[in-house]
Amino acid sequence: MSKNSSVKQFIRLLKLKKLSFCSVIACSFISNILYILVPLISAIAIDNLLATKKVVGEYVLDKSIVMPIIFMLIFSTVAPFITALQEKLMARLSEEVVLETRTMLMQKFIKLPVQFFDSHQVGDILSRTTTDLNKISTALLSYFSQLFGSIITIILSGGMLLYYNFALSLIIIGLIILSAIFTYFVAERNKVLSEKTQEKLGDINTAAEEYFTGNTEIKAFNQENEIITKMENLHDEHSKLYLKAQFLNFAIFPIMRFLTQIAFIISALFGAKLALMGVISVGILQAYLQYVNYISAPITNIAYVVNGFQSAMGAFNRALELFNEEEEIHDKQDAKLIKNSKGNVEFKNVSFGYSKDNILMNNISFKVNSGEMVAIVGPTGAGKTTLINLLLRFYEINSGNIFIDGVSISELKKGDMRRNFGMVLQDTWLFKGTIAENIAYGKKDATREEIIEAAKKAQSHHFIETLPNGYDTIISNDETIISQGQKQLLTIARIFLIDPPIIILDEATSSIDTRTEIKIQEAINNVLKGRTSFVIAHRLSTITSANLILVINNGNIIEQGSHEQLLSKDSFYAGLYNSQFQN
Amino acid sequence: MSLLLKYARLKRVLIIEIIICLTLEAISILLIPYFIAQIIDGGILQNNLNEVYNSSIRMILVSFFGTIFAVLGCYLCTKFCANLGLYLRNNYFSKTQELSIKDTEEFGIESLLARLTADVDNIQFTILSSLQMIVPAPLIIIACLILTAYVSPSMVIVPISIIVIFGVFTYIVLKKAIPISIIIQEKFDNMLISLREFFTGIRVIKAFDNLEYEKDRNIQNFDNYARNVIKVNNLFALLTPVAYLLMGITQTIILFIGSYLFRLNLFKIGQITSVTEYTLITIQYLIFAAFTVVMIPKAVTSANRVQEVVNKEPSIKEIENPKVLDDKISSIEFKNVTFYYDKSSEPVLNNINFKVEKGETLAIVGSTGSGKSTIVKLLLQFILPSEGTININDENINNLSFKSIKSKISFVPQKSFLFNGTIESNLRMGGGKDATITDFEKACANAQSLDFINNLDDKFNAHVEQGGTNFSGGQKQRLSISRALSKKADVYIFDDSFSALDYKTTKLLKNAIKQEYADKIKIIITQRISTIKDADTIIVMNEGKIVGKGTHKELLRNNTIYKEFAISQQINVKESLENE
Repeated sequence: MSKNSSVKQFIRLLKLKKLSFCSVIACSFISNILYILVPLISAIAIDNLLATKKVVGEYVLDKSIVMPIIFMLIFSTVAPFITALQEKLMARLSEEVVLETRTMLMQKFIKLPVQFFDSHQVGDILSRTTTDLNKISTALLSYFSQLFGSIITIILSGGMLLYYNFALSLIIIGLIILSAIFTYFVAERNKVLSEKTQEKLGDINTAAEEYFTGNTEIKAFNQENEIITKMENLHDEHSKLYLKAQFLNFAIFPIMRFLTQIAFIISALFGAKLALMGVISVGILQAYLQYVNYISAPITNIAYVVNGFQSAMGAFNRALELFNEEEEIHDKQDAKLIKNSKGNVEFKNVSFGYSKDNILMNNISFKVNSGEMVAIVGPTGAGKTTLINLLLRFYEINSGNIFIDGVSISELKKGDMRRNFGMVLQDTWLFKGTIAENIAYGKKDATREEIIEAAKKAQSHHFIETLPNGYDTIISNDETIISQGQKQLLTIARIFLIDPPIIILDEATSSIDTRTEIKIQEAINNVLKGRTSFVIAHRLSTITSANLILVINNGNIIEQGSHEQLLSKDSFYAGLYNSQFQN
Repeated sequence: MSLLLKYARLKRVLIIEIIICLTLEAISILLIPYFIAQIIDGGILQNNLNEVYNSSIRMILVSFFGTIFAVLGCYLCTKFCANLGLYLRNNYFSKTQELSIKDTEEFGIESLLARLTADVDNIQFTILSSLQMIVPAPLIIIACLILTAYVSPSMVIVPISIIVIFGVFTYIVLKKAIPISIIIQEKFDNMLISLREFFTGIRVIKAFDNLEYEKDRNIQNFDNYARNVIKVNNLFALLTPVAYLLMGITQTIILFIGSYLFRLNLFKIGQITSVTEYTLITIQYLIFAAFTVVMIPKAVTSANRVQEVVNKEPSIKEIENPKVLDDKISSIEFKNVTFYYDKSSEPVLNNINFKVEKGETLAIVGSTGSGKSTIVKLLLQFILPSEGTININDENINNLSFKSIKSKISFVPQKSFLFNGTIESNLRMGGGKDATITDFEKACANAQSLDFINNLDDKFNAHVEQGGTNFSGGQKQRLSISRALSKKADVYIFDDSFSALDYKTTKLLKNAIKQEYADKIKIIITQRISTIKDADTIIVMNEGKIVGKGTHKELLRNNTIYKEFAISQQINVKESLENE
């Protein structure tokens, strides 16, 4: 997406809150006019004061002074209320825009195909949805009203300055613009340095992550001191870069102030001369100096505002790109529901490739009857999971058909169709919550008894009881309190609760020992009774009894048949099997 | 926090220098309106052009030197914070290496990393901003009051009351905002956690048809976060308008009183504007300070998170002045060893007894979670027994220096983890500085990795990615074994570390170990019976207890669990027993 269209998109988003935004702009406009009038009134008061005669011992203030003071009081008390209104509006608006975008993104996410999630780094989508969008709210909050205020201030104050003294004001404004240009270059340089520092911090993160992950090895091999030295070097390098980057980041402010002070002093000097010559009054001189202050801040800040907006737009752009992602094919209008599926599955002339010009699976056909077990075997990386991806319609096939109970899955409602599958994957997925909640993910209203029952069937009751809070222990996926094998057991327990007609085990037991596996297998067998199952297995011992074995290599099914059939020939399968079971 | 105070004490001279610079900067800022007053009162109104020039030159000098002090102060502040980062990170990281594995696991890798990077970064930036934005505020206030008093002692009441009013107001805002900003951090984390779960679990979520549920759950999190952010924004929205209001009122009051005093000839015109300016500048600094103060609670949380790790007492510690193990390890004995993580929960290991001597091979077999790996952890002092003792050469290991024990034990962990670098740099972790390529070649030949290493373009110099991801599972495992075999140790422990090797390789490896490491103690943990058939002693573990001890044949004959294992692995029990 081009930068231009992201700005358009941004404006479209702002339009949703048109009323609020217009109010903010109106408030900013009115309050800034009021603020700018204050020095003018003060000038009138001072000049009037100087024109009056000194009195002794008597309290007299004539109208020529009291009136401006009253006006000043009104202006300077009304303006802040308008500002307050503006800030309050912005406080809500800036976050609501982001909330809206985030919610829209979430609605988009649930429509995206699995392919999207497979082809994107989690950290990347995560930061686009969270920190990148936060930059927009910060930019809106700190720059948006400031931007409008600044424009008004620059126009009005600049007008005042030029009105009072054209030539002097041109010089002053020129000076201020010069300092703005200077600031701009420093800000650019600062960006480069900050990025470098950030990169170094990334190096620290990468190295430390490695050392924390390899903690066991480091300890076992007495390597602690070597590792500490390596990290200390990295910390030192980072510290040096940090010094440079942050020094520039903060030192720019006094330098900017110096430049504007110079402009101010020149104004004071020449203004005083003009006052002495009687060209301007003292009140005007003071007003003039105040306007110099008014105008210099927004002009010198402009580099930072522009930078801030640019980086916020960049971040926003990254988030918006997600809206362009292709969505999963929508369910047909007349999509059918499956009721009480029997679990008959058929692949008919299925061809598939992850990209159109690279077809992996060619014209595959096989049939599984209700209650049968299909095993999918093959070397690591051969593409065993592909079949599951197709069966659950995580990926769309290029041609052919997949039928469940004789109905093509493309005719079915996806969510409803998927509910017929119970799935346990190689990579366990647990969410942050109690063990009980995790087991009940497929059946949220399950009772504690049902949960314990399921856990017992999955051989996990024993270890759950050893945990500090039993079933109420809070776990998450990167929890180390339970082992990888135990996590697998929990995801298996989930299956027992939902009782689906078709079961998929994708290397579900790869990190569980053979004996426990056999015990679970007994329980799984009970659930499998009368149900169809697809089992991807690394250990071939577990699938010898399958009704159908599909042998996969390089993404394609190269052999199919029963264990005996395949073993009797000089097959690829026989080679695989024998490499595991020579005794 | 105590670590920060310690650092501050270390750098007290630097702090004093910083405060001097900042004070001079504050004075220089307030002197500008003072000289402007001079120009008006002494110059214009007295018709004295010289006074105008003099004051202008003074202003330029003040501005110039003020800027120099400001930049210098800025440099010192940045230096203070850059070194603070270095100090915190070094202290923190050495501590993480001192902590036991269980301690670090309790924190979790993600959290440990976040503390090292984001938290320290946050502390650094907050302190830097505070030094630049908060510290000048009181200095400016004092300078403002002094200068005002110098002009007119009776006027001091105006800035004092305005500053107090604004101070009290800011205090109230912050007092309300700070707890909310802590909640915001929590809500943000929740948002991250549940989104991450959604992204990583998309297959499971789709299969359970829970998309709508996940959508609602996440949007709920977004909403909670936004609501709290708006709350805080709303509070801060008041800060600037109130400051403006006070500024306006100040200007009016000073003009009003000033006019009065002026007409009584007690006050000059320039003084009216200078006193106004002092107060306005002070309020501006107070606004900066207020916006910076909000950052502090988050930084305090960060500091506490770093401190928490630094303060953590390692759960495993040697006794004071431990005995250094000089002799070779000739025996290891577990005596009534029980281990639990927590007294109230079931023990992970229950009354374990065994002894293994020089030249023997001990095998430990058991289900997932039966406690096999816990035995290894105990041997490597990653954990200490809750009850009972472990003896090495009949000496309780609790009395020995852990490093000296570890230097005599080599270990292949369950999950092969290799470090970013080269094959050689990884092997050197085991072999040490003095090991030669010939030593490595020998170790690798035994580990059955030499052939594939020699096939690589760079041989031992071949690059290894973090975690060893550029090697296949089997290669990684063999490299991990090579690393362990490179170490000249008395005990070699293999924790389920032949799982990715095929039958033939395992057999060659076993034979090599048998021959080359004949006089060493070998401990093999496995689930594969075929790997350990010829071990001198096999221990069968179940639910934390030893349920069988003996040779392969003995166990096949009379241990049900062992037999179940054998059958599950297609080992023909009858044939094996008859095959005597």
